Amino acid sequence: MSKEKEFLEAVNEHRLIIHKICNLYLDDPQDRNDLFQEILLAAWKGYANFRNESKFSTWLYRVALNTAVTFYRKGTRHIRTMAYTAAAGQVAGEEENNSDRSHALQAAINMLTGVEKAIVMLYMDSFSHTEIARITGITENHVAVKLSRIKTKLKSITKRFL
Amino acid sequence: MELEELSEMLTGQTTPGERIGRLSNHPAQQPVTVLLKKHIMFEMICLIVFIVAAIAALSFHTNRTLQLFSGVIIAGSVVFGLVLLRLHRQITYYETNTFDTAAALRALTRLVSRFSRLYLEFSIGSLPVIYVLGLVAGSHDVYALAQPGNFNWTRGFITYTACYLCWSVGIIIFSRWYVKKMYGRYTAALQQLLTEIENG
Repeated sequence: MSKEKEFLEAVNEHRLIIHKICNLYLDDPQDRNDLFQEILLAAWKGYANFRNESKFSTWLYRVALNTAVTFYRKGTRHIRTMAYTAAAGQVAGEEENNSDRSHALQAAINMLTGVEKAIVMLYMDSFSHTEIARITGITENHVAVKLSRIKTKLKSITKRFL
Repeated sequence: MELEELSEMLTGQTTPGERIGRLSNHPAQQPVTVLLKKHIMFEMICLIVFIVAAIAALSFHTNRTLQLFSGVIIAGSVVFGLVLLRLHRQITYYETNTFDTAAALRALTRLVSRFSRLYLEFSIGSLPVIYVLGLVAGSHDVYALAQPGNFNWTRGFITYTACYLCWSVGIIIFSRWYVKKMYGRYTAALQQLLTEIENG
């Protein structure tokens, strides 16, 4: 099997990882599409050096998170604030709605920093502290501390909306 | 809702922010490495234009002063071009090898900071060379005059040095502004991420 075909099959099998990261990091559909393309490109560039030392999914997470974290645009903060405000407003206006908590949690996650989002993302996908540490490059203890802080932060933000 | 449930939702969601996002402007957005490589390519194109112009000046003019300056521009551009090429290759290396997030951020921050410093050093370091060259070329032009004995050397030297100082200040201000505009924002963004991942 050619390298290209092998890559496409592996990416196709794990494309939800990329979608998930794009959705977590960006609000605008066009931005998400751009990020998706950039992650694919970064993965393809790095695939020649992928040595099966880790699972393909772990490697793809690493590539995708590195790309998402350094995705740069002027005025990102402005757009983020708008998205967050809109989500908060929707939550406030639909108190009885079943999706209140999900919107509040999503709005809260939107407020996290790029690195915090990366850690939450990995945690949500059941990665162990050791694996999170290996992907992000920080110690296991630091991961535990960060996760605890992030959870507290998320709780305090979601409380404000509900 | 727990984080795990949200994870499932994120794979195919439509957020309220998405609707707002559609209404907002859509400026180009790319990874820092790609943007940096684009800047490097732009600078390399500028250098090629400089080199071609300098070669043309060297070929079509017989004025020794112009030829001397053209030669210096060609040599300087070639050296700087090699530095840019090296930076481009190093960025490509970080793109094609998958490091953990902290290591990738650390390497890129170091690379961009080092290059910014080098750029400034190169600009400032070329100033004394230009001063001496200008002095030599100016003297040569004076001796080429019909009556060099009538030339006021002290006044000429003071005028030349004053012009040189104004020009040097301009170059330093421009270089600092350019480096900050081109690379400063990326260094700041990368540094912020690095601080956050290491200490936050």
